Amino acid sequence: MPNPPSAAGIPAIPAAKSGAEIYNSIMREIEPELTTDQIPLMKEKYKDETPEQKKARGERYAEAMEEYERRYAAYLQEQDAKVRSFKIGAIHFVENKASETDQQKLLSIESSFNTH
Amino acid sequence: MQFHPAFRVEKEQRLIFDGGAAAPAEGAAPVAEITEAQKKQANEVMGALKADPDAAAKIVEFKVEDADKDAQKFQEAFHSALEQSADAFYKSLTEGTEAEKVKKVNDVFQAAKSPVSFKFENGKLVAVAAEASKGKKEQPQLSPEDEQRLQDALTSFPKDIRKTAEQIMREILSDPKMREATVTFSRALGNLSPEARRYFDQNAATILSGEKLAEASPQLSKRANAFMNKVGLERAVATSQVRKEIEGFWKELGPDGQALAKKLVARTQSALAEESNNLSDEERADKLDGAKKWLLDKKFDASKASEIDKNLVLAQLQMRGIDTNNAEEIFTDPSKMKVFEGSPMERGFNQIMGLIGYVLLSIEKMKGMLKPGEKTDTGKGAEKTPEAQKAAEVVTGRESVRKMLKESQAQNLTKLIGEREKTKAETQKKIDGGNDNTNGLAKNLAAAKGRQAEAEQEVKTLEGGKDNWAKGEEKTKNEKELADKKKILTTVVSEVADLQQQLDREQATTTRLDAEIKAIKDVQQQTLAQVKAMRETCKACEIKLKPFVGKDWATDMLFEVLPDLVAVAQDELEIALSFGAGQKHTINEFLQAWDALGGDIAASGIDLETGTLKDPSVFMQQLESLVSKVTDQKAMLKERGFLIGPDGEIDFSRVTNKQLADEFETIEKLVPNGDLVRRFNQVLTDRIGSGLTTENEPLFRALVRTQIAALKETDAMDAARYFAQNNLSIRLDTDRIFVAAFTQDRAAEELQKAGLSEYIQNIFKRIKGGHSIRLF
Repeated sequence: MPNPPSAAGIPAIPAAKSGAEIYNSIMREIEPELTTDQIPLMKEKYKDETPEQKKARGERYAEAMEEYERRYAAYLQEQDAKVRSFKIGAIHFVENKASETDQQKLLSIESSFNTH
Repeated sequence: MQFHPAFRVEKEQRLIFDGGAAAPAEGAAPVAEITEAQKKQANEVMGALKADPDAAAKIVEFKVEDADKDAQKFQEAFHSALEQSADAFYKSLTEGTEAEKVKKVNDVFQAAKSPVSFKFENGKLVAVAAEASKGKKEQPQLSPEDEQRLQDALTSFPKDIRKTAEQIMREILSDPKMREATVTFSRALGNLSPEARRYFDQNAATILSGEKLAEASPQLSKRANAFMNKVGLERAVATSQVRKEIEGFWKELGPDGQALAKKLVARTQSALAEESNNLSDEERADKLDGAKKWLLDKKFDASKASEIDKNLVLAQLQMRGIDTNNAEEIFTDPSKMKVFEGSPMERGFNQIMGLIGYVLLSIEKMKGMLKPGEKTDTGKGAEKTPEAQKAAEVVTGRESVRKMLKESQAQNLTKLIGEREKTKAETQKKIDGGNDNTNGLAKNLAAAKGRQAEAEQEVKTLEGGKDNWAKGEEKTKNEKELADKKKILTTVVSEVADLQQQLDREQATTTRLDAEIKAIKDVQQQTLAQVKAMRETCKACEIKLKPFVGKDWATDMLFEVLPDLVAVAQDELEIALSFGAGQKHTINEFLQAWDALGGDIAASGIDLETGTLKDPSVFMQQLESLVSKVTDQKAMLKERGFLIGPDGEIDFSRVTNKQLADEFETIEKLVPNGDLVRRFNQVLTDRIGSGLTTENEPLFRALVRTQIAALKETDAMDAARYFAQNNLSIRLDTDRIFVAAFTQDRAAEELQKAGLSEYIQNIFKRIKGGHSIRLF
């Protein structure tokens, strides 16, 4: 017996984000100074820092970047999962639509039986 | 442990690690591990940051770029998944043609709010809006008319800056503000004197970037002039008058126009930044040859063209890199064309200006935005006279016919007025009496009234003396006289009443006729006013006719009806269909063209024996109907893929043998135009004339098929029987004619006996013996 037609539509494609948006959304949680809007202010902000302060800042930035890499890898996995989920959703949608067509054909054949 | 995201169980949607470790627990967040390569890169980044935290700026830039690329890949993956599912659905459909199935897929997906639509390509469905879905900027959308106009213009545009030109034009056309600014721009340009315009063209980029004009240095001018002289051009100099005009031009642009100008300069500069130097001699020659050939192929007659059409042609030449300052020279002698010289920026900019001008002019031409008297120009037309400027509106031959009809109506109205005035005069004569001393109604009525008064008086007198009448015979006599007088009075009263009634009737008639004459005169005035107005806008309109040699007739009536007729010589008159200086044709030229165009000469309103016009209204209506028919025929021919030249005829040089063969049999039914069918026959016969070849075989087949089809059924069967009996293998049902073992002359002889026409015999003579022709 064919499956009844589904009311599900095609899953929505997530809105495209720019590289800067993605980067900033992750880095803002780790080290706000390393977001793209703050980077240009760095030179002026740290123009009077001492060598020790500069070294400490370097360490801080390095750790931040390491954490960013980990979180970015997780973000990529999430996106992969979304693509897989989308593919499955799209296939289900197509299967349902194909079976709708078959259902209609079956109904018309049945009704022609009923009239004879 | 290596993690490979590609390995997993679809059903469970869990990640599987190769290397044996257990899968993470259900519900736990995914734990991301990075590869060795990624670790190495990360170490390098950390090292760089520790050494110099200011290196963060560059590192962040790389990270953003990577994120951009990954984001794009994911979008592509989503769209690819959509494509695959659409393709799978397409493959599941069993009914319908390919196009129907594609449509069904698109309908289903669009209903489900798919962001893309699909087309069938290379055996599968692919997304149509793939470019847009990849995150690239969408092009501004234009109306279908503007899109067509732009694409038509771009075909004339050189390939190297076509993309930039297209982008600029799309922005202009899709933005109402920029479009308006372009109109202002062209108007301001049209107001420049020829000298200032030439300076503008040679320094457009500088002027439109808003920079101050360079001072005119004598040395610079001399050097520049030397260069220009070398290539045959004079460099324009910024005289004080030119500078004043250019400054005025810049002010006239206003803020929007100036913004548009700067944008044009900036866009063109960036597009041409990497161009090489000035044109080589070879490039110059290529441009000139291409432009000259284009203009000659166009067969453009500037003497008959409107200003807007001339400027359109000049804009297209400008797009091809031609200097159009000497417009009039170019039109009369295309060999006088010169390439626009200058830096790549100047040349490219000049071409883009040509494109903008072309698209703008074609829009304005269609919408009739150019008003008479308005100096709007982005091309460099000839010196404009006020009349030429006023005639900027485009009119067609049909307008000319309507105008003629109006004039005819005006003439007919004169006839109607004349008829009524004649009737009125006759009526008045009845009332007033004639010159031949016959009394009119008025006089007769007055006389009758006089008699009535007399009779009344007599009756009164007699009745008054009744009492004094003596008895006897005298009384009897008086009573008889009274009765007679009363009888006379009754008769006269009746006569007066009749005459009064007649007079009232005739006077009512004249009153009515007066009113009708006035009404018709009013309409006539209005019609004449319309004719006058149409003449003002229709100075250049005409109906093209084909000249021919033949009998010429005289016609007086036509002279009366068409006021612009010019008596040429003795009995010959010509129709000046252009209402002024323009084409003139004899009447039988007109009728010949009428016949060739499929018109019914008998219904033309012209007496074919004498050449006189029987009925001007019929003539005009038939003419209008014919023009409409010809217009429809041309449209139909164009739809069937024929190119119609500027002379309104099919350009047979562009018609392939296959097209000619395919259309030959049906053209007579589709286009009942004797002349066109004759041309088809002629072209077809000419092409076969040199003998049967592989190339012209389709034509030969078409010709033989039509000839055989023209045979009556019995003739065709006789021919088939004859051929069969004489071992000429001809079977008209499969249409294979095999002329075997005969010489050409013998074959022709056999065909003559078979009853096929001399025409086709001549064709068969060209077949070599033993050649087999399949007709279908």
